[in-house]
Amino acid sequence: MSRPPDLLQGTLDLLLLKILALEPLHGWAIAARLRQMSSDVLQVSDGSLYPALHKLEGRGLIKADWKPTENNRRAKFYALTAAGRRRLEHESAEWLRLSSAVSQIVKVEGA
Amino acid sequence: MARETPPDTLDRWWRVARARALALVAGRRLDAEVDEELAFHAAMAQADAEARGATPDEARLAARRRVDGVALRRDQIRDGRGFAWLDAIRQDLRHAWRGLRRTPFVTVTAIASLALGLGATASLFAVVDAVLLRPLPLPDAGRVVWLGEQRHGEESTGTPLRLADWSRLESFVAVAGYYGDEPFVRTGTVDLGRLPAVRTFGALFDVLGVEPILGRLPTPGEQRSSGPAVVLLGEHAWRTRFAAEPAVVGRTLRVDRILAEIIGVLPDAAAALTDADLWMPAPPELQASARSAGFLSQIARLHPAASLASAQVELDAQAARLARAFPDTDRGLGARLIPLRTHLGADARTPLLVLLAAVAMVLLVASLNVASLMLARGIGRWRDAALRVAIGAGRARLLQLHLIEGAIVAASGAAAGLAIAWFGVDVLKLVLPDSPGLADARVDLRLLVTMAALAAACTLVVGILPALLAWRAAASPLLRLHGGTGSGPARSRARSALVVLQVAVAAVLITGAGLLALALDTLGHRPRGFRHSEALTFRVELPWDSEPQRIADVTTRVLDRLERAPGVVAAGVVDRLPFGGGSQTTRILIDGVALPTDLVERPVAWRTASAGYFSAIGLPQRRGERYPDRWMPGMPRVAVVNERFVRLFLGGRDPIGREVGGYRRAGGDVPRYRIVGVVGDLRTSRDETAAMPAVYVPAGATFWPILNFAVRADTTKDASRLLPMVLTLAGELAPDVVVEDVRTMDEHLALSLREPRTRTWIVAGFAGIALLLSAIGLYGLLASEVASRVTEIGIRLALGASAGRVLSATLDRGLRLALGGLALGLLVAPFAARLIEGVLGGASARDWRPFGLAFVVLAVVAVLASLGPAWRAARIDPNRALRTE
Repeated sequence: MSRPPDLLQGTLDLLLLKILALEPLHGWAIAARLRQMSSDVLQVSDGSLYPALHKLEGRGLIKADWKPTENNRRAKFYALTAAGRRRLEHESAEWLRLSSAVSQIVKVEGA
Repeated sequence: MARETPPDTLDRWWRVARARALALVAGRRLDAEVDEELAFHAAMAQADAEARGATPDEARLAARRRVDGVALRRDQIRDGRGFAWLDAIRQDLRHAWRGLRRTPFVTVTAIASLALGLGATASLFAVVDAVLLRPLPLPDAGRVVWLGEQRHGEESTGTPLRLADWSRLESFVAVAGYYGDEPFVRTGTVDLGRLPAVRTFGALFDVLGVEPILGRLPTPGEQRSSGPAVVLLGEHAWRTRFAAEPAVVGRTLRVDRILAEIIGVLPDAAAALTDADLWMPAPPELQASARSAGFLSQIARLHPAASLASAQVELDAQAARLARAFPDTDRGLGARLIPLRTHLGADARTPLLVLLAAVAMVLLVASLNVASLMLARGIGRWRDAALRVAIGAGRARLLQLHLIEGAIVAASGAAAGLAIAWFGVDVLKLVLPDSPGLADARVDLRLLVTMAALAAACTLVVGILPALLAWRAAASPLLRLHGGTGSGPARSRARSALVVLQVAVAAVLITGAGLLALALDTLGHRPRGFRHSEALTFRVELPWDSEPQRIADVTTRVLDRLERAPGVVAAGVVDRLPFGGGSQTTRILIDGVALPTDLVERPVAWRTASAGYFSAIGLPQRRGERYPDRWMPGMPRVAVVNERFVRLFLGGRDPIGREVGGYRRAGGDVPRYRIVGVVGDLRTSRDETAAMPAVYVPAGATFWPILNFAVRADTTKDASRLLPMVLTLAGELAPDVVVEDVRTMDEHLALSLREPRTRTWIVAGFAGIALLLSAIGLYGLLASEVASRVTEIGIRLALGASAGRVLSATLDRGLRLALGGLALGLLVAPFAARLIEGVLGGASARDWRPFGLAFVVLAVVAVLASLGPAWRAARIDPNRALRTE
């Protein structure tokens, strides 16, 4: 199994915001969704996930609520706030601009 | 990636603030939440593993491993949401507190040294604040100025007529003059004795801006004393002498020979100008004084539209105008405006600043000592630091921890220092010479703020070095986790540097103290021109309304009795004693001699003395003859003058037979005295190099109810031997006449030197503290070095090094540190000495002795401080030293 590439600093925040933009999820589900959406290319370790979530919460970009899961266990569900949505739009645009610029260079033949 | 923040909604701020506040106050609850969240995560992981076919046990273990890793990082999770830095500080406070409690001796010593240093500094600052800095308690006090007149560049005093001329200037709202005296006050039947009074000219209370707390201010007519006399009481006098009785307004006071109605009570704020019990408009005859009679102090309140500079310009123009208009009296006139606050503090400024500088140096030494102590605290700390870095503590965090430790020590020291200052201020009030505002020195909010600033500065001095070294230690995380006893060379070097600095500061202080002591010695041994060690004096005060005949009777009675007493060689009476304080002076004129303007205005001491007085104090007769012991109406008026008078006013020509007259206020026709003799000069003032010109006239020639008697003992006997006789005499005279203030002339001399002596002792005390602290610093460093090298020294001794060599090596190290400090200190000391020389009379920076003193004292103390550790090093038993390793 090839090692999943390190997530660029700051990209994890973007990914978390994006995932939570679709629906409120708890931590475990967020990790699973990330793997699934990236076709198992991207993984986040448990040790990075929770600090990142709490940091986003601390900055008011996401909010948390204790709710029962489908198995009726109490879990902490994270959801995007209005500020988080604005941040997501902003960061996504930035990301697209940056990544297209990078791929443009990387694709140049004959390097 | 651009980190521009989109406009945040109030809602988001609210959410963040709430989360952070919650994190701060409910850290534990949040921890529990995080734990629950992670437990859920583990459960999911376990279920997931089981779903993939793992056994329940394997699954549980795998899940536990995953989550434990996360739980370790709970700090980080929390960091994400709380005020992480505040949280960290709280943590460090706890750590620092625990660390400090582990080494109680060091901690208490450190806090005590800082408390001493800060307490002394704070006490002195309270005094400096009260005397020099704090605004006067007057409304808009910044606009109240001192108007000082000069004549040909020399300070002189104002006159009522010139006061009127200054008052016309547009720069001032009001200008007023005053002089102080001590009239004899009586209310109805009760004698209040002599009370300090201010006699006012013009609207003095408008200048001060004070309103009476009771009654009213004088009307313009009353200010000019054109009607019945009125008087105001000072608040303090009203409370202490009139029991704060409101009905006092309207009552009548007898002030000397004048009956005055009490019209009001002035608030204590008025005492900022001068601490008087009575305030009353000057009597009409003084208000009408001639232009030539200067005796007024003048103050003014600046107009809101005027600045000090603009007012000064207008004042200069007016002075020039007056000098042209009144050449006889106002030639060479000048006037200068100084903020009243500055003027009142002027005399105290330099001595206080010298003391403040000295105490600041003590505080510096104390801080350095504490820094050294903190460095020396336990090696465990270094492993601790290395460990912390190894497991990922930030270096900034490490720095923070040390600064917090420093802050705890400094804050505790400041708190204890405040308690010391509480008493220290009162002690200083007792020992320092009185100056305006001194009585108001106290521990107040301004002092607290200063204390906080000082404590912050101490924190830096105390915490920064250990912190920097910890920083360096952090750079090599493996630093002696196991090795040695942790006395790293960096730490040793740092402590050495601290000791060297301490010694240097102590050297500067000792030099300064030595310089002050020498200056004091010079002043004490300056030739005074008379034989003070054989004279005893005492005072008899008669009521101010005594008849001249009664004064003459008492004088004769006492002198007769003294002259008949055994052991008395001479006895006499004088109006004011040398060193007695106050200097009643006058301008003089000499018939047939045209004096240049500066000499016309030159103040001359005008003394009333019996012939016996000169013999009693041993003032030598130079020429001519004695005058009669006592002047009676009808006798020719005669005088003797001193040598300085002859040189100054007659250019050395023969004074005998010339007629001299003195006028204080009125000028014009004054009685003339024929000069019959010349006596030697008296030097009484501390700073004055030349004696004051003086005229002596026989007792009885002027009215003066305060009789100062001087008695000279047989030269073989000490003046104090006359004491029993004087006390017997006092018993005979009582209760009719009261004898006061019995002192030898030597005591008067010592009293006149009290202020410089107090200052010298205080600085010497500071130098002593600095010396002690440096000695402790040196001792501590050497002791810990020896302790950390027990094994090494043991090996040396086992290999045949002699105990003597070990001893001298340690002594050598101590001396070298001290010499380093001395070299540094003696490099700086000359600058300090020159500063002191510039501001204090009698001090000479060219004298090598203070420097020698600092050198010898510090060298000796360094040896003493090194002896203990050196002795211990030499006594190390090689066998035991090697076994303990």
